[in-house]
Amino acid sequence: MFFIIPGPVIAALTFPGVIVHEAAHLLFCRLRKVAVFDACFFRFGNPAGYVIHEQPGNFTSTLLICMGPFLLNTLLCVAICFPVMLPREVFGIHNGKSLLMLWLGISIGMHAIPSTGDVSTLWREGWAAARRGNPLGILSLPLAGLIAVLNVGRVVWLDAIYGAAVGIGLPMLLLDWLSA
Amino acid sequence: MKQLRCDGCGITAPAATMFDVGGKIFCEACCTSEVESYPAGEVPQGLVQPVVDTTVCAVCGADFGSLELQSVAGHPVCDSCSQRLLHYPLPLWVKAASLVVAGLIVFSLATNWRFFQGFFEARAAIKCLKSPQPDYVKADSMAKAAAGHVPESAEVRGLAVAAQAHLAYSRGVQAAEKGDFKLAAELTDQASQALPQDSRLRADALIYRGIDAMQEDRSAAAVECFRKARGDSNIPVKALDALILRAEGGAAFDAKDYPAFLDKARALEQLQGDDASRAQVASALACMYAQSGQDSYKAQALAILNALPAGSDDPHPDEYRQRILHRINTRTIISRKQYLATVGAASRPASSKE
Repeated sequence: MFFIIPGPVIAALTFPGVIVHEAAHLLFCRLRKVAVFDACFFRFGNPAGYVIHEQPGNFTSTLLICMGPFLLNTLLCVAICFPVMLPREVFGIHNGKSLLMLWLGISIGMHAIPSTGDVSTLWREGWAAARRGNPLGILSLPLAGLIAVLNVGRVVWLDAIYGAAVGIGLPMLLLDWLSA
Repeated sequence: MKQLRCDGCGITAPAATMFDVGGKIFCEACCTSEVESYPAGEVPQGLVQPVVDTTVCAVCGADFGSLELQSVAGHPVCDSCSQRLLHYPLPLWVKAASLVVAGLIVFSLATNWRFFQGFFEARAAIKCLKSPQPDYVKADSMAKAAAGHVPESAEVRGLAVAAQAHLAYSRGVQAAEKGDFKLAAELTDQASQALPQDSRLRADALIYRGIDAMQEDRSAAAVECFRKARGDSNIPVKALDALILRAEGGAAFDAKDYPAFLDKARALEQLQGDDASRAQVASALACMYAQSGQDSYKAQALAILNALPAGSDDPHPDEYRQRILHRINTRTIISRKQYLATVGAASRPASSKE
């Protein structure tokens, strides 16, 4: 059974993820030389953050800007959670410090999924690129579909499940594999 | 700033205040009357476009005279505004938060590094222990290092104890192979004390202690050790029973209970059926002859001795044969030590001393 918590409350509880998400959009805009007109890294409202930028001149830039949070948030989630998962899972050492790090890591991980706006841009631009024969465009379509499903799944906490899977599940799998 | 002439009324005004209506340039008033000339609701979409003055920055509004500005996102933008748009600055607090997160990751890695070390050392130790050719020395050092890095883990401490016990046990087995059963007993005892739950280690320690006792002519103590080890040892039960019978025979010999010595020797021969056990029967019969003077014992002993091939299972067959013959010829029963001291012979193992 799932229970509904208003989005702004979730965003407030996991605010580091919102900040990293928007920072990732902004960083990829800067990397791809795409003009940014306005950015908000966190606010109490909907959306909790945003980056307004010009339409990129090519599909690679669109893809990177849309998927930037997915890459950065996922990487940071692993980097933060893995060092504290080892003592917890292998040696059974639990403490407040590791809990704090897990909250930070999973908060960042659960905001890795691009927003519906990002998905619709990716879908639209991906189709256009695919029609032009751009292989990235073709590859982006199933990705956009998957992310759309994940977005719908937010209602049933799929974003939190993703964060936990990356922050807790992945290190455990890796440690199991290393221990085998 | 660009100046344009209105195609409607002919006035000249700044370009930024003019509108493009279907390709014609109009001032605001002419634009309004042009649009109103269309029937209501039939104004084509996109008919009216504001004229963009490419010499005025769309962001800061600065006028660059006749200089054409670069276009960013379809708008004329001056260099400084362009730099700001293309390199939108991260707010200071976001930069500071990024530094804090980076610092936390580094701090977390640094403080948890010992767990990584401990994990990989413990893994290496387990690998060494589980290998088909175990490297107990490396396993011991790796497990000790792991326990040093993660002293709060009972599991790792247990691994270190187990690795140390395995090393002591393997060294004990090596000592036993070299015939040093005293050292073998000490080392396997250490292993057994480290892992008291492993009954086989305890049993093997008892067996080595028993063999050591037999070497020191303490057969009764050896019997006790072997009996305690029975059922738990890696050594097959039949071999352990043979050791028990041999030690019981030795204890009977020490107690000058020669009928019991003969019984044990015969039981051992029945169990093993080898030349060494037959020689022990001959030894017991010789004792019985020496004690009772009955010729039947002497005849049986000599018959067995004659039937034994030269260089039988015993490592010192000639010495043993000579001792039995000495016992028959002199009708005196002396221990091996006494025999060696008086008659003189090469040393031989205690397991067939009588």
